[in-house]
Amino acid sequence: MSERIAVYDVIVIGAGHAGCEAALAASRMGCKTLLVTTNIDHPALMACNPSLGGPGKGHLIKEIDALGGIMGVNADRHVLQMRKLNTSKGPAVQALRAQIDKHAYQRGMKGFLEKERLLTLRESAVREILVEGEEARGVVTRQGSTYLGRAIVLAVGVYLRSEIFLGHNHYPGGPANQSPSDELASNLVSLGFTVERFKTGTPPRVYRRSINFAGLSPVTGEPDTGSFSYTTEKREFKQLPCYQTYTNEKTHKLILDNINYAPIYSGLIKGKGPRYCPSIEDKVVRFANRERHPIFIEPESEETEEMYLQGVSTGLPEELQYAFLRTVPGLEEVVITRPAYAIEYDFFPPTQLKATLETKKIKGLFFAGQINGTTGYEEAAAQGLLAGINAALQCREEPPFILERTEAYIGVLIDDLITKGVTEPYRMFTSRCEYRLLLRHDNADLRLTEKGYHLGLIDQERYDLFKEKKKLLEEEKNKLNSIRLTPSQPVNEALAKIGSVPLARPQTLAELLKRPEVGYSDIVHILGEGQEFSPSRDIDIISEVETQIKYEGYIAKQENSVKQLLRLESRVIPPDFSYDGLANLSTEARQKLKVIRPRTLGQASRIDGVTPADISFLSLHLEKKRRSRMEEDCSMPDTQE
Amino acid sequence: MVKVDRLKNRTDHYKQLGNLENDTIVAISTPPGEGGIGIVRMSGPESLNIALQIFVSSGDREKTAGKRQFNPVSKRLYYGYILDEQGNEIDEVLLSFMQAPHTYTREDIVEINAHGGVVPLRNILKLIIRKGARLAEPGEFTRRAYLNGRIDLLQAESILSIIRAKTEKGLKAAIQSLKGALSGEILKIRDDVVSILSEIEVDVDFSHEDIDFEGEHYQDIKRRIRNLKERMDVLLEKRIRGKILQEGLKTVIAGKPNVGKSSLYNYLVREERAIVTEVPGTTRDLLIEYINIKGVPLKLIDTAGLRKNGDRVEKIGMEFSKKAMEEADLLLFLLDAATGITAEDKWIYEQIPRDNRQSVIVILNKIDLKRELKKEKVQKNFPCKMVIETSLVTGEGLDQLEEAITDMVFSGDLQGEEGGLFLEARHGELISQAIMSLEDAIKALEQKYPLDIVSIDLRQVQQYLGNLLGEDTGEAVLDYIFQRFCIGK
Repeated sequence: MSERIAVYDVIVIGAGHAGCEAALAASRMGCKTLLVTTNIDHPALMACNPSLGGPGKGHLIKEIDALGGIMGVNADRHVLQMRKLNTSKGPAVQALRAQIDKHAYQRGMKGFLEKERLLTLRESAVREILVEGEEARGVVTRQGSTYLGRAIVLAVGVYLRSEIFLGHNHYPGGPANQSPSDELASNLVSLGFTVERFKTGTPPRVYRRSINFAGLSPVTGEPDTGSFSYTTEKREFKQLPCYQTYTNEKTHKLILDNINYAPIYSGLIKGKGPRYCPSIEDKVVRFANRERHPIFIEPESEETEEMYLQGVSTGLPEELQYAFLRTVPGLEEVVITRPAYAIEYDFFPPTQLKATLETKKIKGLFFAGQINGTTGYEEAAAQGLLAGINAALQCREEPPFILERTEAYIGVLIDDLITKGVTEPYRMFTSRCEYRLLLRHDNADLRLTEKGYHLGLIDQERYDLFKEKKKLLEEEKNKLNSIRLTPSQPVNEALAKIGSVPLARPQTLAELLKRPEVGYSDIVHILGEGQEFSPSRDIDIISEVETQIKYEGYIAKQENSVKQLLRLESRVIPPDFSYDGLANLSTEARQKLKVIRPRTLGQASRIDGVTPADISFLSLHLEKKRRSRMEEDCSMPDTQE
Repeated sequence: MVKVDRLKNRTDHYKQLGNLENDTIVAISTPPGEGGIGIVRMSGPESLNIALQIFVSSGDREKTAGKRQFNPVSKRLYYGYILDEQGNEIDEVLLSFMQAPHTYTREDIVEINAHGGVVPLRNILKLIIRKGARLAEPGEFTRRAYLNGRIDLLQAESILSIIRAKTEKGLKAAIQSLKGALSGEILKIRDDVVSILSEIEVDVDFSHEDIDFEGEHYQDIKRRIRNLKERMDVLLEKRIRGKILQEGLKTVIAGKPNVGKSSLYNYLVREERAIVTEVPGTTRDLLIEYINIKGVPLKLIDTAGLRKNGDRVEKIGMEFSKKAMEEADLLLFLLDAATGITAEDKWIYEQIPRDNRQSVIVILNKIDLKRELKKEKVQKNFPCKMVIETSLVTGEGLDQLEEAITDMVFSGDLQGEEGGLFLEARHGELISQAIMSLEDAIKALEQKYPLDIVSIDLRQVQQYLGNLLGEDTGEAVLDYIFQRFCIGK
């Protein structure tokens, strides 16, 4: 028997963006890992848009990379177009966004998975989680095999009881025509997990040759953007154009005339969809005064003719999709390859999770990705990475790895999920992050690489490079802070040229750089080459130094806020803490605290309905508990005496 | 041996505790108006250091900064002045320093007893915050007292319960007064902050989605933020002068027609608002104004010409007047020195409730004219706190009157209304912190910082207003974005 039942450390179910990160992290951390997926050719399937990054999401990719995750590395290899967004809007919100060759991306991912020595890929479908007492022990597949594992990461995406809608038609099904898993969903419910429904959708894919590009405005990429991964060698990316067109009044009328065919309006779909990603029928109804809505036409892959129509996700039936698309300039003769559809699916409210993404109910069972009510490849990957790391740490019997809100967007993501839960599919925005000037996309490595190294996910070579970068950064800052520029005619003339006031007294280069209109390159220009300065040529270093110096005051401001937050964040609430004895807590606060079971006083303070007064009482009682424990220690008989 | 180690562990433990909440906090710890003297209390490791930066003892006053050698002994009162960064005197104060651990919080505590009333008190608070202390949360001194082992849990809980009741009462009051122009304006300002923030955020988070929204022009945002700051300044000003100080001392001016009530009112308000005529009985409505005399907030009420036989309109006014006199914290009762005591004077005086007569200052006016009435006679006929002789024509005696009013407050003879005062002061503080953040935002815009930097200050403003209104700021900006902009690819 023992010969026939395979035993692993970590079993990951689902090879989407979350599952791939989880499996790679666990195996790279030395765990014998099994990755079970229903279709072995589709790992990291980009089931919706063929792009990665953007504000918030781009930050997540950079952080995943800094911790030793795979998304950034793989993305850089399959870029079809790269842009750096928000360059004029400030240092905190700049982000990379790339069009990705989704077919190549999958194949690339498969390669990474196959190469990993401790990782086994298995095409199969899990129908049951084996639980003994309150601990996860393994999984049983639809095919009847049993695999035992010490930690299970569930990353099955939108496949649980998923149902696809086109007009009045609906049928059980998941993205890419994979069959949904009803058995696993039922199994999880029977294990005591609360389940809810969300809705989302995807737009149609169409033939490139059926589009008339004449008259459409191209959206092009940009050079010198940098890359997602720190390990990617500096190079120029491919720059395939995307195109933009607009809907018009004819489109809107057609949709409104047939609105009853839309499943969210006919009442067929009950699940809640994301406000930031409405279907075209939703946009037309809710923003009735808008004369047009944009559609972006994006390549799915270099290998296919298929194009993705960003902006027109819909649940309307196929004939109507044709009809309204053909009212749009450039799409008059469009031919659809894959119709759009709306999809409704199960997710598990993430307040059932700990900060490690382990379920509170069952030890050793971790949830990651869309089953936690999130949306987006990047959000999924970030959770997968953290769940994989913590599953591995649990197997290694080491303390968990938790990122705070003050450290990373990943920390914000997980804290939001487990503390506040979700009321719509959760997507990351930079505005969710209170300390975004500290959590820039370009300092992700400075924030997190050290941690990745200690986890065993960053190799020595990369770590040495990182340390070298840190050293250079310090040297550059010291240089700028120590070299003084004295007023002289050429200096002041050069300053006048860039619209800066002349120097009245000697100033350090750093002081000069603090002027909004003065950049590093201006200083290089003013000083000329050579002398004591010897300017840096490393773009990363220059931009980091510029940001640190220019925004010093505001960085300090945010660091100060972080310090304030840490006052509460450092007060740990014991996992077995009982809220029942606290008569002074409001009823609502007590109920929520009992459900969420916050890890720290800081997390408690972020729960909706918990007031500062509740936190005061809580704080007192934590102290009481600590003291009574200490008293016990002190009053223990001294056997040594 | 082992026991000693454990004791040591315990000390270490407290040290560690201290490290968790080791910043220095400050608050105004007395309700304004009560007892006249306000106390600003600091607790935490920086208390003494901050005190040394802002306090100069009377002995050191004339010396240059370098030669001052103020070095307070624990638990002793020091007389001196609080100076701001420019060396301007904010107030004359008594300062005491209590050294840890024998204090309420078991931390270093500095208390500043200020005499100048509420405005200087708040300026001292602001100065201390600028020097690095943090505004204490409600109940935080008590929490520290418990955390540091000074009081037991039961004591701490009962104190916190009172504070909590007050907080919630304060919030309720705030919500109830939403009808009031003041709170309505706060809500509007909050909405405007959220609106500006969402315009910045939508431009940042959805920049690649072509949402048909041109990021607002920089100049326009600057204009709107300036406008916000001006409105908040007005708000704060109003609050200082009136409501926030619950609600100033209700001061009623009473007296027979043409005795000089309107002139006194106008003098105190220093604006020609009340109508002044030679015909008796023209001031028919109550005039109310919030003013500030040497830091003492007054809600000044001019009664309608109170007469025994008025017409109907006047009767209505008189009803109001009577009510005002009953509720007054301070009554300024005017007599005409030139005409002597009349029946009407006596009748008006009778309207003042007996138990409120110690709140009466009789003003013997028109001493510039032929004197009929002597001070002694007044005192005999009208039992009161004091009599002051004035002439509103020559200005004689008016300084004395102001002195007398402030004296009455500071001597503790007058009591402002009780309840929610501490919190009101905190609310005012939140408004001024919000204003400071708006100022930072304007400065950032002037220095041409990008909008994501400006948003840091605006978020701060949003946070302060959220605290003020007892709201979770959470997803307000995102909610607004999704409502207003058509987002989504």
